[in-house]
Amino acid sequence: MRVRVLLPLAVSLSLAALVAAAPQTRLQLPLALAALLWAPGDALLSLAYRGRALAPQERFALSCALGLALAPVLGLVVSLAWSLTALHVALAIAVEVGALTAAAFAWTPPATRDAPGLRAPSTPATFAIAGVALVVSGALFAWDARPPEAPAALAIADESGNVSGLPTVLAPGDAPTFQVDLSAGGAARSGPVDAQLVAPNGTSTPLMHEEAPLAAGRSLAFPLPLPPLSEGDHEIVVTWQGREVHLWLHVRGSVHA
Amino acid sequence: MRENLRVAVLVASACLLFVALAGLGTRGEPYAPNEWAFSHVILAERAVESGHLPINERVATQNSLSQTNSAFQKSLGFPRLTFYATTVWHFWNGLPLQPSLLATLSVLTGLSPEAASRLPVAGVVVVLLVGATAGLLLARRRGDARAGGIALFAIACGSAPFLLDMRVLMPSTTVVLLALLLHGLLRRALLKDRAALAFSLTPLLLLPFWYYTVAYFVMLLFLAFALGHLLLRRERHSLIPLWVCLLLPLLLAVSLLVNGALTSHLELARQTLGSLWMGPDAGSDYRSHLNREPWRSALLYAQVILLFVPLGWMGVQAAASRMRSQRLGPHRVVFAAWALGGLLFSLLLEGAVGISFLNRSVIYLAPAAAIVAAWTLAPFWEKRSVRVGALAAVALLGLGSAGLVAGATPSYAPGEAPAYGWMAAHVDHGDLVYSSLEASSVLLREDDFVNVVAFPPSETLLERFWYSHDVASLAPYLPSFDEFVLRHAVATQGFEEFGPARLPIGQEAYAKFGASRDLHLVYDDGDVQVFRVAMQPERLPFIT
Repeated sequence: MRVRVLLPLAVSLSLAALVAAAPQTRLQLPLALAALLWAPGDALLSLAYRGRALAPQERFALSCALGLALAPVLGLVVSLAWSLTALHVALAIAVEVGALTAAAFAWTPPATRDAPGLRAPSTPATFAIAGVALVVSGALFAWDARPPEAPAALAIADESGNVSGLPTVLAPGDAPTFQVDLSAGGAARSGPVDAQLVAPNGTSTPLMHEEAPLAAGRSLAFPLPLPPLSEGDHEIVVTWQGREVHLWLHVRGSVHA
Repeated sequence: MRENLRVAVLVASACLLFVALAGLGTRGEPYAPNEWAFSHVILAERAVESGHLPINERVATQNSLSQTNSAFQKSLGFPRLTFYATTVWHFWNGLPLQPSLLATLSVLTGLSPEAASRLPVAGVVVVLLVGATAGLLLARRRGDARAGGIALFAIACGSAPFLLDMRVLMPSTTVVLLALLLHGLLRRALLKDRAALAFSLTPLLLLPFWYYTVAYFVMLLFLAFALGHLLLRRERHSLIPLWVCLLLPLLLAVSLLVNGALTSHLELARQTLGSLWMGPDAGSDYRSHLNREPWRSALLYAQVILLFVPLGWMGVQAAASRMRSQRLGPHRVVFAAWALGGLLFSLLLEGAVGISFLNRSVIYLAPAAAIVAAWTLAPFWEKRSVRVGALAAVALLGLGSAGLVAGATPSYAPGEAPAYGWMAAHVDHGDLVYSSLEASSVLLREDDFVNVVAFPPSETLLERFWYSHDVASLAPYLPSFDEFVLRHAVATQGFEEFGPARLPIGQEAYAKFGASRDLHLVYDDGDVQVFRVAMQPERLPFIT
């Protein structure tokens, strides 16, 4: 009986030691989950049931569930080493661990009948069901893992490339310079980049019309200088690859706010 | 041995199917499976970095925002108390177990807390438990115990609310406690196993420090068991002693009172409803909160009905038996109390916050519904038509779940990662950024923007800022932030701004942001637009 009790605890500690010894490996995740979830729960069940029958699947499921219920408490036990003032947490742990231990030692259940547990259909039917589940799961995983192709992007910022420094209000005669950024994304792009300045009276002045071929993954930044601005609301509009960015330049003789 | 191997294959395939469906749309994307998980991620990240697990030492004595927010902001490094900060505060203040679990998982597995929060381990454990419970029950049922396989697959793919919930670490881990309770009660009822009760009851005492909603469900569940004592007193069904039925809800209530949650929730109910349980918005929903697309509603309701018919039928049979003064079998007592507790909880939810929140009941009752479905089918399992019909029903449920899960998942369009990366490089990280819940949380978690704000769910804001076609309606809101991030998906999907399965805002409402003279449109990649607020100077004196 002692072997049944001590073995899962030894396995849990061994798994934890393996995780500590071999971090950053593919085995770390399953080992850690086994150490955290399965082994402590199985040890508790061994204590409580002392060799009484549990169906294999039931034992595994109950072990994992008890392990999961204990996992945050184990975490808090660790944290108590640093934070001994957390009285409520200490109480919660005392209640949890105390009651489970009491259940394990004091309430030895009477002899239980063997629980046959879940039954599976015939071998062909089981493998047919499992095969369908496997194919459906694989299709879902594959569909979900499709790599996206980054689209073309267009941006505008101030001369130093900072958006937070963009002006809200300008004085008449100011002639700011902006920076336009093009990013090709996942495919090669070709086509013109157009920029124009729309005056308060609605007249439009071309600022730029250039072909901007870009290889996939490449980006390009160039300055966009403006002529001196008169009073009113001016709009700079830049277009490329169906994208549009625009700035509203509020030019005022006397600046509010 | 061969039988055990076949069972293992069956269970493993059900778990695999569950993982594939529950993880749909979340792999390789920085959007968390559910953004409510992100506050725990932040706390767990800080815990992992500092080597401390997060415990709020003042939780037992000081709980109100005004009392603790300055200590909170200081310890977590939030310079402003934004919407996100208050969300994090909510969990920082009252729920130490969730960040503790996440940090523990992260430290042991070597995964980042963000990645650890996406491990659907709790869901897999529930699937395992449902299989075990179905086996336990059907081994003592007239008929073919192989029908238990239906329970496995029904729970693995048969309920979209359950699947969506179980991929979020915080609520899903506590649903494991419910599944453990159901199994323990049935072991006690069928095998006279007294230890099972202690194993299944004790972890419930942690709920007030783990997840409030499940704590309320358990309180009502045990009140239902107490009610069962009154109704069945002549039958001496002491499945759970009466004093336990009354003591457990009392202990949970006291714990919730001590950690401030109960007071806070009652205050919230008073503020939002006008009265404690019933008010102008109660019994229905926020008007803008139930704008669910019709196909989604129809599919969801059809799915819920299909899965829950056996449980409902068992409830009707139990009531009829009582009317005829017939004895109820012990397993029927368990399921009847479970259904009654679920009903009480549903009434509370409907009365307090509205019908769209009833998915919580669906989630908590789904394991029992799957098990009862298998139990109901077992006597007829030899009939080929029953087997084919049951498998077809499960397949239909799975198809419905796939559609609902995929449609209710915040998808990460190709242009979104580059857009947030561009913002990280070109926007001052101290700026106040306004966006939807998912976009804001990515900017906060991944790109180190400290002042990101998501919308508060007020009708006025939704109507004037988001749904309105009028550019002028934006003006009162714009001086409140520096940048505004707009995902194109809101025009056609509308998921993120308004919770799962809400109406999109439409192209006209989307276009008004680009037409505003108070906004620079500084970035556009077809999937995301970034605006910089540039108010016309004449507006400011009137607005301020």
